[in-house]
Amino acid sequence: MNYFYALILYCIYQFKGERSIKAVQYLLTGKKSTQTLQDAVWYSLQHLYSVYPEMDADAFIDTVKKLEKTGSIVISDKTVTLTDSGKKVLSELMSGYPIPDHLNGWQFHKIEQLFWQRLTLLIQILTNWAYSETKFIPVVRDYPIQNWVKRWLGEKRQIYNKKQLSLRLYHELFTIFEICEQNRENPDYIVARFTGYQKPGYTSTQIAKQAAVDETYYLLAFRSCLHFMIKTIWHERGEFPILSSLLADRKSPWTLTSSSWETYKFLKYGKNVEEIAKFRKLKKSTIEDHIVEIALLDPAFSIKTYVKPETQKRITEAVNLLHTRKLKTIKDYLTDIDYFSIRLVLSKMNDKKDV
Amino acid sequence: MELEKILYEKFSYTQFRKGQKEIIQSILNEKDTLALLPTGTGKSLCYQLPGYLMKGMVLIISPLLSLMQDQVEQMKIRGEKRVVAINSFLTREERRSVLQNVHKYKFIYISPELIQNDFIFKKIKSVPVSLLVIDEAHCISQWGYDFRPDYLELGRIRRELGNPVTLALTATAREDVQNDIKKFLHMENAEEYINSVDRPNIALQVIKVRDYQTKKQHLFELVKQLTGPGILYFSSKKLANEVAKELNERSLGPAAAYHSGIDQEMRILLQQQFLYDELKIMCATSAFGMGVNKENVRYIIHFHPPINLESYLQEIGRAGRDGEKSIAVMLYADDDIFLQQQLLESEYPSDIQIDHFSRIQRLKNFLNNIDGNVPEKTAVPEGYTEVQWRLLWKFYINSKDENDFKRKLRSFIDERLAIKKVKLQEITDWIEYEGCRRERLLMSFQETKRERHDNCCDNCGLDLSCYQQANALKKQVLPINWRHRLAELFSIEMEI
Repeated sequence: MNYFYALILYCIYQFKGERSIKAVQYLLTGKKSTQTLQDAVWYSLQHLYSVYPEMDADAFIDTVKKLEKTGSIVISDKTVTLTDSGKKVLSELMSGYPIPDHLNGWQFHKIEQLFWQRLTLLIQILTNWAYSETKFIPVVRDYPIQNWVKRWLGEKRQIYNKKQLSLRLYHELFTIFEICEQNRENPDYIVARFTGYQKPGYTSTQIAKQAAVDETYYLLAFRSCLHFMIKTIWHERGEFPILSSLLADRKSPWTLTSSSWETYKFLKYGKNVEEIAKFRKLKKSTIEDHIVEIALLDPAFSIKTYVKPETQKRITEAVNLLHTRKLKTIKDYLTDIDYFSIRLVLSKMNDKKDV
Repeated sequence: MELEKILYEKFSYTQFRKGQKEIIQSILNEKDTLALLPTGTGKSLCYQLPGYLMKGMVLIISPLLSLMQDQVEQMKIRGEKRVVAINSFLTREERRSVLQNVHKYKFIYISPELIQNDFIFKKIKSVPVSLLVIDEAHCISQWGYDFRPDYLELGRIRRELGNPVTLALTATAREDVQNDIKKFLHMENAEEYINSVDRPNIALQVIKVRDYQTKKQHLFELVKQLTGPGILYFSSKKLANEVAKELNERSLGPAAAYHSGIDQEMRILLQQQFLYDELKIMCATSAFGMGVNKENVRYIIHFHPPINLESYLQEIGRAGRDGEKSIAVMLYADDDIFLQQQLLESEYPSDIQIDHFSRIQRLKNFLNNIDGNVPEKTAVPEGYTEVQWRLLWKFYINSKDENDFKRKLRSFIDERLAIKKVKLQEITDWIEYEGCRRERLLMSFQETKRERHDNCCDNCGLDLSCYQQANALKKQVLPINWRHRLAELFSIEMEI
């Protein structure tokens, strides 16, 4: 099994021969550009956005070359297409190992790392305390995370003693992992990585080997289980007071680039594109990029102000008729409508998939 | 006061290792001190302990980020909270907060380049420094194997700090380097504590092989025979990965690759596994230190030789810290010399990198001229090493224009390469040497061999049986079951 192949082929398949090979790399590693965000939404690939940040750029190039050489894909100047034999390879690779169900990079890539680091460090501390050990090498070196967990422990210690706290965490974890299991997620993948008193966790390479799966697959399955945990905890805070308090300081799972935030603030004050561009000394097209990004990321953001309902309808019809997400093709068909309107509509066409 | 008492209270040791006490006493007598202590014998204790008996701050200049981080980490684990490393790992916020509260720290680690930053230096100067420590002091000398131009500024820094008591520390320095250290740091009257670089409990062996394939066979044979835990050194990450994998496949492990390509969380897990003897073999690259004091490493194998004897000593120094018998084996094929030459050149920026760097700066300057910013050093980007990047900046900032920059940097690199080639010849000669290896090694550091002991080196005769493993117990790796592991981690009794 080589799941890295499968992952790349799957993205190419979804891109319908309309995007470049770089777009695949940017999507999987979670590049924060309007283009990549657009790609994820327009081609229904949100779940794979930023699910492989540890991907090695050289390994990616090698793999793509191999796929090209074996005739699975055809790379032209600007685009990459899946061939018929490539489709076969893809379905073979994925049979028995579909992309893990609860993978949702779009929604959780920002907090998964934070949640994981806080959780794994907390477990290490509590299980060492059980042996009265306070001197150990923390598995997370990131100081903001360390400080956060220390503060968190300080607060909790006013309510629980060490033993109670540890026991409560254990029970919450046990409960959530049973729910994970009932939902076809494998908690082994998570628990094997935890570090305890004189028990270092296993690395992804080691766990993949033991479980006899490919490492890429392991990483995706690990994330999928983690995403499922976060989602469940988020929705059922009452059931998981300890675990959910690890995320209590997070309000929303999505985040804009800081420049787009700035634009968003102006929009909320009722300024229009020209005014913002003038005031911020930016090009009009840059502000438009920001608005597309906002439309992509904020489900509550309405595009009504920018695109009239009848224009929206015409664009939706054209997209369905032409079976493409390619801007140029749509624009050629709807000569009187500008690119900005088309991009906004495309960004909202996928709303169902958003959460 | 009793030094032993503090040693126990702060460090949980009952006695000093050889060489430590004299150095500490010299510092406490407010003497500038030049100290040579071989790798693996507890250098850092020599300034950490006196720190507790001195009023002001201990300022430690250290050249490598990863080393600094490890030191700070170790001290924090020991329970010392008043320690910090000022480097690029700190966020802007954190750095500001550290500098505002600089008086609250007892131990500050900083790189030789950051201490030259006016703003930072002013802040540090506002607190009395009782002890200035120059770690890896050989970096100050262009005769040393690891010359760093930033070190040359440290003499001025020291003066501007009001000449505090200074400790210059290194594992290896010949006389010319020792003289340079004293000269450039203006500490001509320093007390000197020169300990032998010899680690008598580590036997030395070189095995010459025909080619790469035979080398690999030898490696697997050695791993099969020798008692672990052990560290294998490779010149490339890729090879480290491959060999780790193959060792596991042949059930010679558990082994793992350990280098800068492995992400940080995994590296910490691997260190811990190694520390608790869950991992038997680390396949490491020489460029990468290990942030763990493991006492019982029994053997070191060099799959590729390092490019100088100093690095060799440093690397084999990870074996036998507990004083028990250990062995260092170097595998050597004739064409390794080409690889070494390549390695040697890759330490410095290549012509392509220099051009690339200039191009980027040109573009940045153009953009900066618009909003009038000064060029600011950025984090090390992909494709450059820390050392390369620092050097590029150092020369870039101190040049008139692009041509001046390129010319100065290239002539510097040429000069360094010439010295490095001499060093490379030295280790090659050592490998080819047919007399006592220890004697020859010590001679290179202007020492004479003191006593004769058994199991010295392959040329003196080695009894390999004492390094070979008696039927070692193989650890059974159980399949992961989350219910069991979770209960085990939380010490919960499970009903069966």
